[in-house]
Amino acid sequence: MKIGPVLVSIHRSEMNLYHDLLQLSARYVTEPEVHHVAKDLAQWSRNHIAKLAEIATDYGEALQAETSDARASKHAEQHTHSESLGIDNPSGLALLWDLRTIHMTASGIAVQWTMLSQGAKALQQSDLLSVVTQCQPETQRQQTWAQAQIKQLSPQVLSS
Amino acid sequence: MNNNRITDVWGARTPYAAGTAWPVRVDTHLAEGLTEHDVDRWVQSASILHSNGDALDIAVKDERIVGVRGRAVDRVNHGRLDTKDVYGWQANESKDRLTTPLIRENGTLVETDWETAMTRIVDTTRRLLEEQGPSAVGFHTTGQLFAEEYYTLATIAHGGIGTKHLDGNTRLCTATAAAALKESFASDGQPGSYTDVDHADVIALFGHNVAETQSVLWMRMLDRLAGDDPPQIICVDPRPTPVARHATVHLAPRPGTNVALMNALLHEIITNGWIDRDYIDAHVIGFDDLAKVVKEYPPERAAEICDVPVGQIREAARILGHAQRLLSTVLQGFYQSHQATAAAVQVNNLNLVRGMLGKPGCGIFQMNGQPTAQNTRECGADGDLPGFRNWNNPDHIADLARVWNVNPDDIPHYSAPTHLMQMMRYVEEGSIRQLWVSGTNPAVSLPELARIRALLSKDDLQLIVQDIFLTETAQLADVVLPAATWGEKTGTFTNVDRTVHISDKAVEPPGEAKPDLEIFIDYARRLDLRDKDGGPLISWSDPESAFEAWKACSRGRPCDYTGITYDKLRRGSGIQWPCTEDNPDGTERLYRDGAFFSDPDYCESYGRDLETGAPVTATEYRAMNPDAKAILRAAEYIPPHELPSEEYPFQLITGRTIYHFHTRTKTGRAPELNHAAPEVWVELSTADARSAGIQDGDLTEITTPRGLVQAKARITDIRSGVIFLPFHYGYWDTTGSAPDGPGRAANELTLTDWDPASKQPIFKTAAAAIRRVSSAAGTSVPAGMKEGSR
Repeated sequence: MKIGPVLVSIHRSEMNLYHDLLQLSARYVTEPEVHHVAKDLAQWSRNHIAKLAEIATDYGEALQAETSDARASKHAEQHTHSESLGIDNPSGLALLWDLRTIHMTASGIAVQWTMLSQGAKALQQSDLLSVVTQCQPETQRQQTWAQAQIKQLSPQVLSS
Repeated sequence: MNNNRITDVWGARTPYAAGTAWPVRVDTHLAEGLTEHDVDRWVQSASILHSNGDALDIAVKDERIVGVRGRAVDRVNHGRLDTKDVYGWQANESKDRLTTPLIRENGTLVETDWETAMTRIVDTTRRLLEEQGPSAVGFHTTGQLFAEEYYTLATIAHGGIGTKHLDGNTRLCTATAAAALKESFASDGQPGSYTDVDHADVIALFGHNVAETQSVLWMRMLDRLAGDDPPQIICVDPRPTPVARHATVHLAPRPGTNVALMNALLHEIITNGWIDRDYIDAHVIGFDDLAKVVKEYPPERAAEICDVPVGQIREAARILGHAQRLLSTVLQGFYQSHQATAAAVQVNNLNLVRGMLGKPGCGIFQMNGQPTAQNTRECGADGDLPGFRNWNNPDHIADLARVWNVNPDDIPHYSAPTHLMQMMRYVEEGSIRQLWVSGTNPAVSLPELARIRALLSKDDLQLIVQDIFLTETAQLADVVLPAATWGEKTGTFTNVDRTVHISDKAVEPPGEAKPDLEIFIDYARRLDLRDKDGGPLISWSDPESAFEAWKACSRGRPCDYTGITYDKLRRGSGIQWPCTEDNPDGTERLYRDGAFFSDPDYCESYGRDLETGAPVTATEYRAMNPDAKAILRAAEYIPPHELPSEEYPFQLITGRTIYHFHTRTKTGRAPELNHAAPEVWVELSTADARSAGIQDGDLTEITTPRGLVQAKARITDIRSGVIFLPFHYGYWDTTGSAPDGPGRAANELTLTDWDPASKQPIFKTAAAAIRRVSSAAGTSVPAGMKEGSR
């Protein structure tokens, strides 16, 4: 059985996604919806990491259960109005590229959940399957969110 | 001054029993010294100072408005008037009215003529369209114009210019109502009727201080409470409002925790089997998912999150669960708070699992905050498309293109229309360079005012303000257009229970002020907007022809107006849509016998993810709801984004008083109303006041990470940890458009964040600090103000 390596891989990807989302939030303080929702979605990845760590022991893997916030950039929450008004403005195309990265990471995780789900069914591992059932829909929603943001924001970015 | 309706805001009681007719009570108020015999003529209209839709007649003498009288025959108010209507008409005649166009020359606004002003606007539109395209132009309208005006503006913006940037200030008050209805019913359209108050045995008000926001509706409830067989009242509000005082159970949760509370109520109702299983099986999808989510929210969990006693949650659930006829209402306590749409949707879920919809006494009011907010949603002026059409459904776009006689691709539909806060973001970063504001005052009503003032003042923005007074926003404008107001122009408007009223022109507007309809039509003509055959895009020229055009657009859609005419509206009472050949007298309730508008081909919206806001796709929706049922959508509780901290230990909520509407441009100019509530105040609890060393009447300073406001303290039974500021107090009557020193506008303090599903800004969960500045020294708060919340 090769469940362990898949768990390790998803866990690593979720750690990346967690930090990517927090970084997105910190970088785009002046895009309030991205800033706030990315933080909310990062918590989903955090929950997944905890669940993965818990189940991983059944498959001989020791995975970190907590996220380490030291890696996330600690940009100041406050922003000056000059920043908002376009000077040092990090939005526009940069935001679209960053959202694309989120989408790619999340979709990579989603497909790994599918692998895990198939393995769990083949091996009749119901606890493992339960973890996938709880987590995969949220990963898909993270993915959908990134795409929806791109759809919403790109017309204005690309035409101005 | 006749102060009767200042100290006695809800007037005399006319008790009535369940199932009987609400008695008539005609409220009249005329200028000093006049009687009804002195009036030359009475002109039919309805209220413009709140969203209830109270029909009234305007008294005219010597071509001036001299008073008002409620219409006894009308189904909404049976003759009654809100206190703002009793006195507010006086503002029409204020000397401050804008009477000529203004343009900014060398930094100052100077008087000019219409030709100059309109040329300046049109030249800019033309230049921007050439340089960048429709994405450079935006329109921010209001919830106080007429249907005819919104429909014209929507046609110009979406059909003519081809911009997605059109939204109303209704985004700030009513967006969540529409979003919640779309989540649960796949379509806008309030299911209930005000007559449900006559039959209900339980009335549940969620974040809805109806006593001060729709006072005539409260009068109807008070009259039931005073009659035989009074209803039980469930009230969810952190403040001790008049509604709370009459409540059987008053829950005062921490701001931002509404989803947890609702989930616990649903938990109890489902666990105890207080559900209508037959109704659910026949008419609703999503029950199992909802049950699964709320299973994790026993009352104990909500009690901890919300800081509300477990026993109270159980008691409220028991009353809701045993109701025979449940009427639920929702307003800003839910809409302007964290997880707004998710929480409002749970109220829909409550009535749905109980099967309490589509019959007398069983209703839901996802309330509106402004008199014509309903029309912005119907006519496509607020981020929806006209006629509740689905921007995500190509067939609906093709249909709208047929109505307008344009090509479908001329109507931008590659994503949802731009919501207000996103429009402001585009202004801020410079991709929108012309913003036309009509009938609203963003420099006072949007969150984080320092930011808003800065972006509205940008050099690369042409700011146009069309209004009746030189508001804080108008003072920042490049072009100011003087508009006619209520009583000076004709049009129709619609309230929350779908009642359409006509408002006839009673007197001439002052100076060169023009009806908004005329201004929009003139703009379209100057831009030479044409349909695909070369005819004028705007083929109507006056209110009645505009109404007929709107009717044609509404044909076959849920908000079908085709059976309504100006003539019919003038004969008696307002009429509820849908009003068609089959229902010529209008339709009292929607969704009788579970007939919803949610068929995938017909519905207005496939909904959005409640937490991420991502639109549901057509494919997903079709698979989910092929049989046009109602939809139960569940949500987990997520903590608010800005939580109290050591530095900012309080939660700030903002809201209204009965004496004022919005930014007081009218009510501040009616002497009795202004005198009743002349100054901003802050409410805090006895315990919190004691800890902070604050006494009643002391001047205090309230701060958040955004700014600072000073206000006199009023100690009340508001829940501890929460402070309340009314949002009405800007600077037009003090320093102009901005504070000079400490501010008084509540929105100096609020944060820039919004609900992902409805895009409605969050005015009710900022983290704040309060400290005493100076002592009251015997100055007490004016008596009039204490009528409201204590």
